[in-house]
Amino acid sequence: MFYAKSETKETIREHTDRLLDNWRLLKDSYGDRLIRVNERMWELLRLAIEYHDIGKANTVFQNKIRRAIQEELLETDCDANVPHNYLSVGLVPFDQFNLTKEERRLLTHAIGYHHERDKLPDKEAIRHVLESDLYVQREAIAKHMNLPLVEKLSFRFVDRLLRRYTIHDGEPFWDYVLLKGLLQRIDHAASAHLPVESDIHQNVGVYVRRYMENKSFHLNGLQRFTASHTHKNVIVIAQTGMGKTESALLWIDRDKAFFTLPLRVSINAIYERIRYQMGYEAAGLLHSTSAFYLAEREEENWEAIKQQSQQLSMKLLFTTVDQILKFPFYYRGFEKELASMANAKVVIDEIQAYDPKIAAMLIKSLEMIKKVGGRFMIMTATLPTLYLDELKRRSIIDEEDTVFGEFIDSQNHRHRIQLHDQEITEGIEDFVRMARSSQVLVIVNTVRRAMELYERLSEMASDVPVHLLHSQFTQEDRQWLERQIKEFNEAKTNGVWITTQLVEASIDIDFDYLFTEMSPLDSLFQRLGRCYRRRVIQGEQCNIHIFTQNVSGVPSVYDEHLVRESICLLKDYEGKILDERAKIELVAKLYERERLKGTSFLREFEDALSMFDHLDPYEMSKKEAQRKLRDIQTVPIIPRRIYDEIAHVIDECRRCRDWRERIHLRMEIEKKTISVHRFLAEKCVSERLSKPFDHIYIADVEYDFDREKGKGTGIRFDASLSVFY
Amino acid sequence: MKALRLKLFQETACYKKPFASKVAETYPLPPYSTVKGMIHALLRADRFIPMRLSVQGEYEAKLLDYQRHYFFKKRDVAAFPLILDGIQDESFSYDANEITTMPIYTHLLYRVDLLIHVEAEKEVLERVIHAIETGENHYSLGRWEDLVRIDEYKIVQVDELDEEKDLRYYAYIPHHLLDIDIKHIPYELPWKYEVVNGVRKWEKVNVGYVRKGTTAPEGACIDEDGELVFFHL
Repeated sequence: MFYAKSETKETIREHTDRLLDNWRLLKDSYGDRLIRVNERMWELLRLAIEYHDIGKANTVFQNKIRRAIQEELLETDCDANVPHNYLSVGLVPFDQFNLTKEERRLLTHAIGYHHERDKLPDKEAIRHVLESDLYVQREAIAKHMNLPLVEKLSFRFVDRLLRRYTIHDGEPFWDYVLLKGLLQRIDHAASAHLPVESDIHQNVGVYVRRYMENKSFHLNGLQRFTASHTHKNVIVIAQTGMGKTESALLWIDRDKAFFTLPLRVSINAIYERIRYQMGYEAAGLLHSTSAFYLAEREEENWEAIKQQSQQLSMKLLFTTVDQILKFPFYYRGFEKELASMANAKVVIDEIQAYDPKIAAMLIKSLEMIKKVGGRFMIMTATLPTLYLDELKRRSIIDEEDTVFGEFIDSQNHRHRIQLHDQEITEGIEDFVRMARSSQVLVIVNTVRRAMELYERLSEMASDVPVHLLHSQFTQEDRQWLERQIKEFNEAKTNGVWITTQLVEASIDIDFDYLFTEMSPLDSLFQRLGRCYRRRVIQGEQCNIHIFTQNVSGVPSVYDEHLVRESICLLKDYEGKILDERAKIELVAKLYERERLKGTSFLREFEDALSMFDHLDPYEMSKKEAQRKLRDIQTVPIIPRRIYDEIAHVIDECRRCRDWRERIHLRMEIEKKTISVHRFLAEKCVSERLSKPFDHIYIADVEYDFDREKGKGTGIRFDASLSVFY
Repeated sequence: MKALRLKLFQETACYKKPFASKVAETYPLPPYSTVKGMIHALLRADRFIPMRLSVQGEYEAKLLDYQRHYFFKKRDVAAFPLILDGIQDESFSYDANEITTMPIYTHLLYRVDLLIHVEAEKEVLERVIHAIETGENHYSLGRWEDLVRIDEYKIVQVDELDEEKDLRYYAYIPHHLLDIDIKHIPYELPWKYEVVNGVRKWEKVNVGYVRKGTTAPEGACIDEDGELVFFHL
């Protein structure tokens, strides 16, 4: 008896058979989509599966499991603890399989690295365990596994493992990525007792069409375009409100897909639409707080959805790019994510919303996806010329495989702009006056500026209702405010909302007037989309007021050069209609390489690309890659007063034994946190919570918000706690 | 086949790479041409003597030193003695417009152990042994000042390796023996030259510098005492 798992008391053979079932499932379902995997490769994958865990038969490992499941330990003289993945390779009878040299190497590396370890293979230790333990039990193992084993031990494979595959190996590198990545996918799914691919026969295209029929919508030009190019890579530029999501789903059609968006909230929103409005159940959600979200949404199967999402087995997965597209970092284990792209389509929505470093990563990802045989779609309101050029330069898009579409409605005019050579504070009189009879949205570049404006307006004590929304409220207050702004908008109440660029992308609102600080054009045009979103402008009056003097957030948030160039480009439209085509052309101009020369934007983009092109593979762990990606500059904090209120919940959560209950309590706690920039936090943080909340800090600052009245500025960095506190 | 096995020791050594002009970088082991040169010097040979070599070894550390280098400013300069040995008593001067000097960083290997196998005609090997036994001068390998101590010389039987065996030393393994998936650092080592139009034209050998502990590739040889041998031809 040789065990593979302690939790399930599975034997190595039973576990291996689970993998073989998944191998068959993958081959039958997506075999023809995996264009890089030929019959020979499938066979190699099968061999890799058969032998991948055979090294677990060593006595040290067996005793580890036996101890866990309280069975009698085995006698042994051998006590060296060697990772089983290295040992497995030593038992493979390579000579019996009639392999080419390259195939031999592929098999060796797939098995040897199906777990990535921090320690390199140590020949002496491996020799010791193979000779004194595994070789002695050879017959019993062969019988248990029903597999031929090596006749005579050889340790040459250890040297082979030390020379890892890199991009410089050329085509075999991509074969290796697929072989190892698929082995890992199958192995992880089998360990979780899940199918490697679920809902294979579901077709999201059918659901979209049915949904649209029920609503008596007809496919528009954009949707017809994507629906007719399901076998190509697609790049579409389309303005918001064109039904981009539906068009992406029509492109995905019957395929497996990953749908990525920059913001978690918008991912949740789209997931909701597809899952509950269209009734499509084969959709998963994966981002850093997706479990909380699903549980809160009272999704019954949230655990299953989360698990299947994490295994990337979902037919359609909504996710952030940091979850699945970070393989250009070549962190240890990157092969799994990349290999799951090979039989799938990936949608990248709103590429212009990422900072240039991440955009560089996405471009590199697409290059790699193309190599393993996956397909992609980029859809965006505006595509910076710089990115498009890079995609062409690297032959990621070419005439044969890629179609390009532009869908803009320039018939209906929504925005007439007025530039003000002033600071936004000088516009206060104007927007207060307008807010008496309409809905006014004010967008500024920094939280600090938003608070200033809010306070000034509140002090003016006018009859106009004033509201504030920015990122530095606690999670729950922020969610409450986001609901409020939508309700306010729908109820057509008059008043002012002062916000930051937070509302740019995620919140679906349609105000009468927009007063905004200048920002780079792509961001600015997103802001414009919150005003006259679904209406046509009449008459000569301007509905957009842009303030260009002394704008906040330069250069900390926005590049100075970009802002200046944006103002220049916009000058021609002073007092005029700014239609959708003009917007796209202006952004294209702004992001031409020539115009970007000397900007930090271009430098960051190019540095990142060059880094990805020259990165040493396997140097990073997955966690490090994720950390590099995320905005590591923000930390969650809890203001002191709020902490005192929930201290008992934290204790309760620590004591709680029921994990479902614990997740609930944990969510209660996370809701009270605020994400702030590290440099801001440093000034006021006094202590760190103890485990398991050691990522959260307590800040000695005032927090000002009254939910009853919906009033307050949120966190107050300038006002520290009174001495009498 | 028979071969002469030499075990050598050097306190310091610099086997300078030919194009390392800003810093005198050293190869990690003496290249074949250097070993060949030493043996030819032992034999006081005035022409090339056919032979095959295997070079293995290790060193304790690498260190830095300065060495004065002479630089020629012009293509054609007045006669300049390349070897100053024996003329140090005579006053020697050079034209600063033609030649200049500069101290240059020199990489030195510290405490080098070498295991060399030489395969050649029996008579040649015997002459080498004779030279070692009757020599009156010190010997050096690489630079003149890097003395070499000959710890062992022995004629050994060399056969094809059939067992699996790991390298005891770092070694140059010729490319034709190397498995592509054995981790190694590739070198192109000089072996011998012909003079073409007054310039030395070198014949090069492609090798991999392989770590000790690596399993020897198939096709390697082993001597009667169990030392691995990788002949370069």
